[in-house]
Amino acid sequence: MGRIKDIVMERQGSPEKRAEVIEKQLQGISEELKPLLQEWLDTGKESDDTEYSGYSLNSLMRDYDMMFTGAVLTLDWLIREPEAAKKALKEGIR
Amino acid sequence: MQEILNNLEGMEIDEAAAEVNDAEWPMFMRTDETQEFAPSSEVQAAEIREAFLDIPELRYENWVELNGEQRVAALNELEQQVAEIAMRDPMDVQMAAFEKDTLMGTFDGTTLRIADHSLMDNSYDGYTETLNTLLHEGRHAYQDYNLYVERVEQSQELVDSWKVNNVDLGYDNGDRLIFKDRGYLEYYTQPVEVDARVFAETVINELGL
Repeated sequence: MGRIKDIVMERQGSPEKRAEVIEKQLQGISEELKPLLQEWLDTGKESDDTEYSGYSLNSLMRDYDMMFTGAVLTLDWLIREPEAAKKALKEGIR
Repeated sequence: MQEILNNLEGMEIDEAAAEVNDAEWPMFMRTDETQEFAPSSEVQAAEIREAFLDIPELRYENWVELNGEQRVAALNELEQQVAEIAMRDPMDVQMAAFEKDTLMGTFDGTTLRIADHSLMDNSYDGYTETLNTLLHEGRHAYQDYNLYVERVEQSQELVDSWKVNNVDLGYDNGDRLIFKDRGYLEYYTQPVEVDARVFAETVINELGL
């Protein structure tokens, strides 16, 4: 506990309180995303092409300018609620 | 103000409230029943429809014949009307070349920016997306107005949700930080985003687009 928060603060510049929330969110992500998260925590790797409903870590970071945690949490939403997540992403940012 | 507060000390709440002269309180705290509020979203939508019909450049068959400058001018004309209906200050509407195609529009406190990739898209989808974005960003301007200038929204509960979202939680509209590190679901389900989407959709439906 706390390790994820520290890494998020260090690598992404997230404020402490937000990093605490992000840590809690990441601790609850889908099982299939945990290896991706673990590798990031251990090595800092931020690249993966595995697609979930047409989106990958790479595409979310590239096309939506997301940071690693934002992209992983979005992939988690795509896994849990694919139709709702796809619709939202397709609408774009306003 | 201090004299009022001193005099209220020890009084029962109802008795104290009756003693307060509304005009001496900040606008947000007044209970003046004569305060004028903006129409409901449904009424605003109906009035925006009337304004829309009075701007021929905004009809699709005319829109596709316009250049970028003319389209921006037409959108500014609509924005002036929308602002008046919503009882808020009008914003300047500009076309913007955003780095990412996934960014449709922004509001930064003074300017509504519409992505060039939809504004200059002659397809019907591009046209409706542009109007949707204008209405969406304009609703953010309305939220801002209620939080920082004057409350004109009828629903105190709605304004409170915007306050928690923007002021208490510190949503940063410019950098989209909440979106970048907390993921799209957090961004999408924010009260200010849900409200803006619902409002824009209400108007688009009223326009019959």
